[in-house]
Amino acid sequence: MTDSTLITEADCALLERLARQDSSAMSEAYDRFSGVVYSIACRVLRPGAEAEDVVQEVFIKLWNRAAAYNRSLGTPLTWIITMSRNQAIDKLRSLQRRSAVLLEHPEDLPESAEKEETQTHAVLDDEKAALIRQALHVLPRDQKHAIELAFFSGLTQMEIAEHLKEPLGTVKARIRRGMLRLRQPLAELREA
Amino acid sequence: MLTEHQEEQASLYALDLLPESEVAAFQRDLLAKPELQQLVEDLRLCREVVVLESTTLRPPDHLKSSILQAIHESKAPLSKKTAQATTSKPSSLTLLRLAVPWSLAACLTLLAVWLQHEGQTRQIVLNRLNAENLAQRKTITELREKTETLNANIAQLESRNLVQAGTIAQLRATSPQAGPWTPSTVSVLWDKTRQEGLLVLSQMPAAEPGKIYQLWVIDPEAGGPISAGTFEVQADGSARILFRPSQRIRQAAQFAVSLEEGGAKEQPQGPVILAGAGL
Repeated sequence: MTDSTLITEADCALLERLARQDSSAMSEAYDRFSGVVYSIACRVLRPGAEAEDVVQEVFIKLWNRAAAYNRSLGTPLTWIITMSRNQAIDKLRSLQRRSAVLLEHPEDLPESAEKEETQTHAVLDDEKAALIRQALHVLPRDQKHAIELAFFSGLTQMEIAEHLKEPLGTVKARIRRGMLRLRQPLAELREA
Repeated sequence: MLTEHQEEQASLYALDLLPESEVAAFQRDLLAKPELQQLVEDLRLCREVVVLESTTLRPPDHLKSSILQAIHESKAPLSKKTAQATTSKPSSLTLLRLAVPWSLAACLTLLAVWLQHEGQTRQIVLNRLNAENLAQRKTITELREKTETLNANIAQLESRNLVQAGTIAQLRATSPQAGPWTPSTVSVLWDKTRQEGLLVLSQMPAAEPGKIYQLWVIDPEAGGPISAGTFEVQADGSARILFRPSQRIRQAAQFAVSLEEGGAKEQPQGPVILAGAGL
């Protein structure tokens, strides 16, 4: 059994406790996932009151809907990431603002938020994640940017193409190539 | 082996960027292809790493306590009521008063859950049936188009076959003084093998009362015109007559139409108004 399998099983058990309305499980879930949820909210909305609102809304949703989780939705982490992204984008649209990821320089994010080291290790610590991290560090900038826009901006494919001033086909191909390049080490690992 | 299109859709799907209109079809594809399932699973893991690596921010400390407080408050009213119910000794009537609304609420909740589940199941079945219906309609349309193409090919081949096996003749008025018989087109198709022909004409005036048109085939080897039968034109002046001459034709050199009094004749007696040689 790999580390990630262990993590997934532990996360599933945590969700089961949340479904039984176990308050101590909520404290553990917060310690485990709040960094992920807040990071996504900040990437979409910038750090601030709205991002904090999103964190609160996501955890209350998690408390009320943990029983609705099933494994066909992916791992608990996948489910929580999707929920956080959707909640943040809904908030973004209600505010009629542009996503923070559309800033020219991502480092423009305010420094008021405390940075946490290697969050990935805390929730995804295994060989596969390490391989993907390595691939991510050497991913061409344009492909990484296209992937981040796809996930964090809340824009449609066409809007991303307009933002990048590139044809739609180029944008789709860029996203595909970037994602497949990240996945390449996993395929090689499987073949080995 | 997955196509580039499938890889592209899997990438967009993993990033929640696949348009709503394409999601259902992709999910059907996903169910049928284990290789695609593996790809999506891997790409989701990639997405998770991208998300976790892109920003690593820690939420403000006060947030945890406010969330836990909100959750505690959402549980509180129920806890208080439970406590009251266990510490006092209610009468049977009070118990009944409490039990009836709660039972009703429980029933309604169960009913709502069941209806929601039932609705979702029906929606899934409906979506599947719609997809099947759409696919079948597409197949029917394709088959219709193929049938039309085949029919057109058959008609073309039959027409060619008729032309190759037989004779075509264009009939014209025999003289400018022939009268009102100046139809726009009079054609005869003659199939020598089957010994039958087709007379097609339009804008031909109807024969006068007591008279009738008679078609003749001129075979030089027969020694005289051979009757191919009488005919009438329709109210709009058109006619489409399949005819078989009264005896075997060796060579259909010419066709003619005469106007006969009373009925069919063995040899033309009335004026020959239209005639034309085989091409």
